Amino acid sequence: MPNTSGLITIDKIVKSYLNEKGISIPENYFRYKQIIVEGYTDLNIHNTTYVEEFIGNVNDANQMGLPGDLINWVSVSVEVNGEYWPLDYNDDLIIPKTNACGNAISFPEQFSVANIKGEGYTRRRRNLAGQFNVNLHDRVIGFKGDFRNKKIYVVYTSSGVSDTFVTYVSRALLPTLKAYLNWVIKERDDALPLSHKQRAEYLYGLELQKIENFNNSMSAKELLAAVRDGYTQGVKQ
Amino acid sequence: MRKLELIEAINKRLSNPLHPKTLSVFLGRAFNQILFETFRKDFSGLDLLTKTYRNVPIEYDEEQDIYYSDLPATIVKLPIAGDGVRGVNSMKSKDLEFVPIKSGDVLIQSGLEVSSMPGNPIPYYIMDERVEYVGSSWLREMGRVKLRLVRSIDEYDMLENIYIPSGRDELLIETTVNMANGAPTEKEINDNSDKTK
Repeated sequence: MPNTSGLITIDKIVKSYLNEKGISIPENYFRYKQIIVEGYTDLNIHNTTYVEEFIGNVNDANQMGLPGDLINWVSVSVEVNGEYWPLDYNDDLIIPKTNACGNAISFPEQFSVANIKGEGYTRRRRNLAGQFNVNLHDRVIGFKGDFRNKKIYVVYTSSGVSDTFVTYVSRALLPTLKAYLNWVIKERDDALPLSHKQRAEYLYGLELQKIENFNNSMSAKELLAAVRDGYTQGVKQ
Repeated sequence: MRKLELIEAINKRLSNPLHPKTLSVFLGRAFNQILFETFRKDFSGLDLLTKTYRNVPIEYDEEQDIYYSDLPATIVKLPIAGDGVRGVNSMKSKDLEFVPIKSGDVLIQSGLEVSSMPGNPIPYYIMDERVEYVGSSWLREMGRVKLRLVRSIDEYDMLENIYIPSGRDELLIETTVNMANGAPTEKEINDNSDKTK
């Protein structure tokens, strides 16, 4: 029999909160959902290390559009014979904004998006297949080397919420986001006394700390390395 | 208790008995008042007062680009989103497919992430005596829904059971009697004179 899922939807978080509060009329459902979305986006920017993966097509101008939820990139790779080879970042590369005729460059619709979350990536270095630069303001990657119509694999930190696919959230964030929702609802209620708001903020702070401890925890290997680094070798008698 | 029995019981307390349909109007007003006072802190306890209407068609208002369903019965006015429409679902679904909102929320939430996220339940609100749905062209494919309504007393047949909130039976009768006392009595002679009975 399978265990409960490690990934949950934002709808599940809303329903879990309503269930805890004993609310059976979903009158404020979308209001609560929007608050949780904003809380999740805030967590992704400041507190967690969740990354997204994205696969896109390069257009005829040798550029590729980036997804709207990208905060910053982690790695950019090109598909070569069924493998992804990382590209080298070169921030001196110029990314033209218009083509030779002076028209704005258009980007083809991206053909697939992978919504796989991970804690971080280590990639084996291969022969560098080319270079890239990123214009975060315009949400564009430009390349050095001919990558037209190639598949490019981008790993990036995401704001977290997709408006194209169902957004899945790690189950570890369930209590954190419910605490955030509870806090914001109380904070915006002008009739509530300050003590209630402070208590809710404190509880959210506790949940936030748990997540940060979870994300920053050392692996056994890292712990042993830290312990060994502290050893000093005394002079042998 | 059936509606007719309740009306007869109330009529027996009146100094001048009224026609059942006239008394039904006062009963409706008293019932609405008691409903509000009983449930105003928790509207989740209205199951027994809810009736399910099946196969209500979803129609399309081309002029306003809105999908809607006409209300099959008059509902009570409740101070929550959705008023007397307690639930909307496709015929066999047991999931949260439709969620009541206030019509103003549509404008506020448009442009926010929540309005464009896939997999959302469909919002609905009550306007112009119909249930209006927000977005979703696949509503046309759904075609029909079931509505769960808290009906006005006027919609009850005379032989239909009225479920009075527990502990409020006497209050309902008293409130109706108070409203009905002082109402003009029924005229026995069909003329326009004020002087004949």
